[in-house]
Amino acid sequence: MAIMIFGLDAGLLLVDFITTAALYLIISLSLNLEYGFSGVPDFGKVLFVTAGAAICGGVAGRLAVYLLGMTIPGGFLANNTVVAPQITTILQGNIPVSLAIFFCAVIIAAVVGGALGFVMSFPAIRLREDYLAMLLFVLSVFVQVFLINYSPLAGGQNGISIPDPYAWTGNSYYASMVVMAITAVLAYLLISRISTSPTGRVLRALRDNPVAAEALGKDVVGIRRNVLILASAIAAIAGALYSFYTLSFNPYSFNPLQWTFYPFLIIILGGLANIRGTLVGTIVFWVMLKAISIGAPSFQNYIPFDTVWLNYLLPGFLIIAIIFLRPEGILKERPTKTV
Amino acid sequence: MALAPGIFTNALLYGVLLSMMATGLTLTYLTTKIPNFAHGNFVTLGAYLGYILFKFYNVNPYYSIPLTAVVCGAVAVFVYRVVLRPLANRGAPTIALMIVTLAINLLFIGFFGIIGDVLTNVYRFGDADFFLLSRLDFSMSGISGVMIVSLVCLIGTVVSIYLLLSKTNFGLAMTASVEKPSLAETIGIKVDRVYTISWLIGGALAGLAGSLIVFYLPVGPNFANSFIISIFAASILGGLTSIYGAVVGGMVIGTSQIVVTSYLGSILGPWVLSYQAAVPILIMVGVLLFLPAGITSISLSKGVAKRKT
Repeated sequence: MAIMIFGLDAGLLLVDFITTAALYLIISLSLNLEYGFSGVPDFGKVLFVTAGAAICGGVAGRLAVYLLGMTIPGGFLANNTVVAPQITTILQGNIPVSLAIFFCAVIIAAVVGGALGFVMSFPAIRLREDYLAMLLFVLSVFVQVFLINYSPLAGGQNGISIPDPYAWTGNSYYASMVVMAITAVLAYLLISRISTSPTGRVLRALRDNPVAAEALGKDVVGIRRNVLILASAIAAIAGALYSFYTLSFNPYSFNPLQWTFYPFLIIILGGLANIRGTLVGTIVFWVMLKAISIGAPSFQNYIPFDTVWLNYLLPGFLIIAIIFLRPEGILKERPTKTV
Repeated sequence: MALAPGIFTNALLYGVLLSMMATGLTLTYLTTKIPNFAHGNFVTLGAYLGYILFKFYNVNPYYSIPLTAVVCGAVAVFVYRVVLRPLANRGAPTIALMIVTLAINLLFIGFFGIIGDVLTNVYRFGDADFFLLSRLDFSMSGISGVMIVSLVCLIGTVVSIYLLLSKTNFGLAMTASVEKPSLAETIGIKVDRVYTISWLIGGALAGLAGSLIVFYLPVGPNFANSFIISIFAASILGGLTSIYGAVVGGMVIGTSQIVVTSYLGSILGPWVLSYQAAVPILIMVGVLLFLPAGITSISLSKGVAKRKT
């Protein structure tokens, strides 16, 4: 029998917690690589996550229709809410096509994310950091306006439904969690490897004193560009996996608060330029946030306002408190480990 | 196809209100070098104060302007003195300060949301989460009152800022504090007081715009997020270093957002209209990439002055 917490199934809550916490761990790690290690203030993080999610939404259904040789009068886009569940039913017995859809969507999302990172690296090299932060922030808003109004890619304001590539496993909820967790572990290993490698030391040198690094023959511009490309590709993969988790894409769910501000909060809470700190920060923040959203309905009747506003107040207070009381975060940046 | 005649007055009004907000933002950035993402919330605060005073005491928002401006100025000073100044004095980087202003933005939104809900649930005001008070406005020979009052207020603001900066000792002190704070301090200018006053003026101007905007646009807790980008676009177009640039920038962004999209919509089809929110973003991106010092850097005799960004 399922254990219930505040009228919700504890098992499902735990699965949802692990999936979304792993998602935020991936995004925050990529942001820590950019801002913590390299000093590039990516205030447009939501842009790359949205791009990955939208590409997944745009690619997955169409590719499935093509691979399964289906003919749909009116096209996939016009009928996506009806066709996507039908495809899911077919995919239950078709493992090769399921895997093809999954890997194609994730790889295309990563390539598009990396390409967007490459494009963004041009202003990143030319602008001072506060101007760059503003530029990335407004561009992320622009991408959202574009995706809401331009329907051919991913359905515009109505969003798009996505067929379930995990249907063949029998329980796509658990499968989604496992894939997200494995990706988070891979991202963790990759970024901690980068941070302890000679490249990691170069990144810190660029952040702390770009002029000196350049004088020592380091290619400041090229390294910053590579960091942006890599981090953006990782964020786009996270976005694509999130789309496969929710099985739909809607541009309204990608706001700067949840996808830019939360990751900044996590890396500052955990400690800038500290990989283990990002892990701790993700867990601490996510437990707080989920505790409020699960516990809120039980005290809703005793307060004269909607508990949704606590989702604004908590992160706001939290970040001001950290920056005042412990600006270096829970775990400080440490000197690189050497053999 | 001709444009609707109301479009130009609508655009002008939006531009005027945006100019007031951009002037305040530029003033605080110019002095304390903090890009304040929470600036739009002083506008929302002004609007809510006007709304509450009307609902409880039946005061027309025009009459509550002085009180609203003072309160918003005081709140801006509070935000600066209590949160931002201690961090800036500790040497926090600009990006950290930007993140803190984003956090303050969240706190304001949560606060307005709670106020709105309390007014709805406890006092049974039906519109506290989304109010427009245009029915209280007057009209003079076909022109709406808010248009006239806003224009008068903007002209009054520009003239008084001009007089303040060029004719008073405070103006000299402010110029000195902006140019070289450490030097200004050594000759006895209280740089800190200058900074505080600039936040007071900035907050008061935003409060003024907020009192006026209740006659023109519906306001809710999230209101600031819908135009904070327009405010930044206006300030950046003005170069972020010139108050007069901000006034021009506000007028350009406000009018182009409405007139240009309507005009393009009449030529290319109505799909253009849904991209109205993209106009200030595109202008801002263009300015940041190609003219980072803003329109005030264009000199007719010397061409575009280069400034390191």
